[in-house]
Amino acid sequence: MIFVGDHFKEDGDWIWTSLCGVEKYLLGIHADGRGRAVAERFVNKELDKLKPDHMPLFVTDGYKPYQDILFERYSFFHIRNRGRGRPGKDYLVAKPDLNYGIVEKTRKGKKLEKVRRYVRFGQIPLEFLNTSAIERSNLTNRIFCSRLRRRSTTFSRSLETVESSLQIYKAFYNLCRGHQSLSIPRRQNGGKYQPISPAMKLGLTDHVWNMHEVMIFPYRQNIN
Amino acid sequence: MGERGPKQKFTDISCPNEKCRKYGRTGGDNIIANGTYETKSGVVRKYICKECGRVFNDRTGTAYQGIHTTSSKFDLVMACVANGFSVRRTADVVGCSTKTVVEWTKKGGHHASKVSESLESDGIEPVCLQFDEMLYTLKKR
Repeated sequence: MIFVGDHFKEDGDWIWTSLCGVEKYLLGIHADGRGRAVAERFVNKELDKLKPDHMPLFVTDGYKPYQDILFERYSFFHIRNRGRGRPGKDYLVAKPDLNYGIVEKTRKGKKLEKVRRYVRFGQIPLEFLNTSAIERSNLTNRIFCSRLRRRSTTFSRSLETVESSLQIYKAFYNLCRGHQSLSIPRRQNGGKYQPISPAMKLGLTDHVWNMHEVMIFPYRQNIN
Repeated sequence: MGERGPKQKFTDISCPNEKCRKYGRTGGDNIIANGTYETKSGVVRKYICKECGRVFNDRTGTAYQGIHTTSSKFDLVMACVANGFSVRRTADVVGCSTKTVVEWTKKGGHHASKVSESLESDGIEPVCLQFDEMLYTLKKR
């Protein structure tokens, strides 16, 4: 039995992605190596983008570092006995509002054999747990970014250029492209197709942008 | 000569100098016009910040800063990169060298990351967040 992800060595060049499953917003896409340190850096950077008091439902594959990082991030120290008698050992406890589920896929050769879903923290119905959105998004990433393509002669030589093209792709995907599952079809909108981008769904903008708008956007004014 | 009347106020423009007290702030009266100049994409207006004395123009702080071509050509390169064209194919379509495509990709990528960062700066509230990783090929020299 081989778990998906376990048969890869902890090296090589990897693209780390995080996606809002319902809004289809590509929160982060980053090129780096593999391992706990990289995962920690990436996940913490993505979690910093959330509102401080907001706790979404987290779903990942069975890669161990995700579990440890999320637990460390959303946990607090439970202080044991400090009164009379032998002092107890303090330990970490996950916050009660942390909801985290894991979807582990088992394959035999190239064929997917079994999908195991389980809740790691919190109370979530098992039917809510799936990673299909991000796995479908991985395919879109490979199609729309020539540097990620498989079985192709196209490849990259510089990490800086890969990172740049990924950032262009992220802005294009989130802002300039109507998502098919979010857009309103013709028959529901009086014969007119209304495209809705992931950023519109998340409330960051009110219209679908074009590339010129992205490139001319005065970011310094929005930050302040 | 232009028509007489009150001078135009540039309340939607902000100072790009990070050390300036009014960096990124719009709606003030610190920005005044400082002439215009011609580029391939048309006339570009120059400004001066009365607070710090920084001279800048319409293209400062955008991806078009410092490019010696039209903005539409630059946008075409960005659209090609975002739609999965390879560097050589983009160069063929646009009519420039591969080196230019790589340079513009770096410039556009830097700006795009700043745009995403500024849009997400207030914090976002997704219902569900998923993480994953995938393999790709990087052939280092």
